[in-house]
Amino acid sequence: MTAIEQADDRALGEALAQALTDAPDTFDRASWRRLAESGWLHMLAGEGAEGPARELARQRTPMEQWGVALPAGPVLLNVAWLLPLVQITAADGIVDEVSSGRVYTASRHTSGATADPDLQAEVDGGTWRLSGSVRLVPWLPDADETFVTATTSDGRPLLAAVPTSGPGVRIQPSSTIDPGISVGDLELDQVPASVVIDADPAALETAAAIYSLALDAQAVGASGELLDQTVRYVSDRRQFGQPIGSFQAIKHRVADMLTATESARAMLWLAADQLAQQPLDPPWEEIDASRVFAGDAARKVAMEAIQCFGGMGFTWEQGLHLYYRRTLVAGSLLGDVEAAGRRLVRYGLSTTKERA
Amino acid sequence: MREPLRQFLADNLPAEWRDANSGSLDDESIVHIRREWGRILHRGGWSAPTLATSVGGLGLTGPDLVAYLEEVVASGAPEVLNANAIGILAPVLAAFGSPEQCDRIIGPMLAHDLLWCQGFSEPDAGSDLARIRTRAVPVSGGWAVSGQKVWTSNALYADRCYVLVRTEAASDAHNGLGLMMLDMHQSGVEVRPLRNMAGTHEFCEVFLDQAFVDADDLIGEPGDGWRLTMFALEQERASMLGQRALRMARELNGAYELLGTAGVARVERELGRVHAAVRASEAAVRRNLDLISAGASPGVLTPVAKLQWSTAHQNLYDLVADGVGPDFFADERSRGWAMLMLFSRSETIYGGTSEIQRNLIARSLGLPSSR
Repeated sequence: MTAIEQADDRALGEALAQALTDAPDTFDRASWRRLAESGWLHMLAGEGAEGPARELARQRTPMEQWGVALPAGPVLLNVAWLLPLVQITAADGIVDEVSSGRVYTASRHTSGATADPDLQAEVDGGTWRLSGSVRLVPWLPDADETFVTATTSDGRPLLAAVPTSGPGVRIQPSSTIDPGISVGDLELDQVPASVVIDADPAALETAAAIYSLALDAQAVGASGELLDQTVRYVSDRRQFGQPIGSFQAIKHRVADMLTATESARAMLWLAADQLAQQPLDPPWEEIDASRVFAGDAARKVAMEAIQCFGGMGFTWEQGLHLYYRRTLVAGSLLGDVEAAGRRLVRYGLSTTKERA
Repeated sequence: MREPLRQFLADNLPAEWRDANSGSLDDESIVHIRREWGRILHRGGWSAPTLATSVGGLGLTGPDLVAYLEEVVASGAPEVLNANAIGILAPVLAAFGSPEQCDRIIGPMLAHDLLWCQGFSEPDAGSDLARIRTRAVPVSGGWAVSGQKVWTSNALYADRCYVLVRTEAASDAHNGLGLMMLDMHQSGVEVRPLRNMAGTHEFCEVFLDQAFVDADDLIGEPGDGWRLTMFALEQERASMLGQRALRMARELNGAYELLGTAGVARVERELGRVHAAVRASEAAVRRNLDLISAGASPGVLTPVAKLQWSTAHQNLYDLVADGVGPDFFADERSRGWAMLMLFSRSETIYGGTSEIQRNLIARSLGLPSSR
């Protein structure tokens, strides 16, 4: 980045931090509408189909800021999946809906560019009707509509939004251990699609890539925040006549927290820079490597922070547990670290076969 | 620049030298190959990538340096024998030495006409380097140096040694130190190879008994030693990591080949994590190279990268061993890997131990020192 881009990046980060002060831990419609009206959900729009990937690589500090504030609701799903997809496919209708506060979520398969396995779509006089079930849809209880990917009778994927209430829709709402992430199972019986997005596979892959990297930015931002809080705490807290941060056992844990955070940061922005150079052909090895490393790093940093805070770390009030909960749920429900690791391994094996 | 370098490597690197390492060859062969390669690279005009052009280097930074490192690593070329001195002593001379010293010393170093070793650590001064006791006493025309150095790589073959000594008798710790260049071929120098745990002998003890150093072979002034050494150690960390982190990414490909489908299945869960850690280590080093080429100091990111690389590398070997299974330690085919695994234990020790790296990182975060 040039010096000017760096200054812009920092300023944007501070502006977002301001906007998110007092953001509630649990989903709240009024707060969501305020966020939607503020325009922050559109931060990655940019220009044209290549805009979102380029904006992601340019807006490092604000993207990491989403991990510092931990806002409730499908924030990154809108910022980094839905609105970029809309931008890439020029499906503009949804943009106004989002800005006015309508809450969209998406099934995990959909945000990962694959089809929901138990969902079918049939066309009925010009309307697509969806039937079947989808498990573990993040934020389903908070959403007005959810994007799912059904399979048509000739085997093609159909990306569509369905309402989360009304005739033919049954949801089984639930919560996760993260107060900002609700979840639910969805059953559909001939439900008409309210929106259909005609997206080619490349567009879906790009949106999935941007979302994965946004989750990494959240993870890195959270890690950085935990590190800052830990450094302050161990510098102030005294035992045995000195700050506990002067003991090597603590010092070395903190050093490991920084090493994990900075290595994750390097991997994330390297992957994002590559995506920005080839937006329609995501570098999946780098993106999956980033998911695995950032997801794991965030979890480890949260555990180490709790450890360094001692008894205080284990209290509700200290608030470290909110980051720990976020890393656990984000690393499995939203951006599955284990699945990314398996993809990496398949990639590694495939390179050997090529040479053989 | 990439194409001509790739062509040069293809034309001049003998196939049997590709990926040659102590895992598969004896000490003398390794030394011979690394020295010859140093000569060939220099004659071709491709040595000393980061050294300033004013003193005979290529002065590469940024994408050019990355391209250079990528091509060299991809070719499987060995590290040249004088890599340590070229990466550390040459920049120290360029920054703090006299023009006469630069003219006299750097050329034969790059050409591998003279071989170099580094004399820093002592039996009582490793991580705590300021505690060195090797003493340099002023004599007519120069200094008489007495003391003992340890962990001196390739001292057995070296013609010269750059050595940290105490120039002031009553001085303590960081004060009163000097950096000098010593001729290894004199009666006051005795070299004893040490056997490392992998079974090879590059490390040595060096016993100095009134070894003579010419006044012209002191770098800077007496008392400058600590400052020059700190600069030298920073160079060491920066120069070592570039190639090694990129080489590790290449090793990852080799690991998949060695493991095969069956081996991968045995360790799949951890392998994804190790794969990610290898790529993240590479990303951290690339970022540092970018920072350096933009004229910024990586600061805390240097110890971060060293710690990250060394840990990831050791984990890679552990995982490959687990994945291959019992054959790993018995089979000739994987013997090279097993040897490298033994060697890798030194990576969290040399170039500043992991514990020291963590202390440096913690200090950089403002954590108070222990007392």
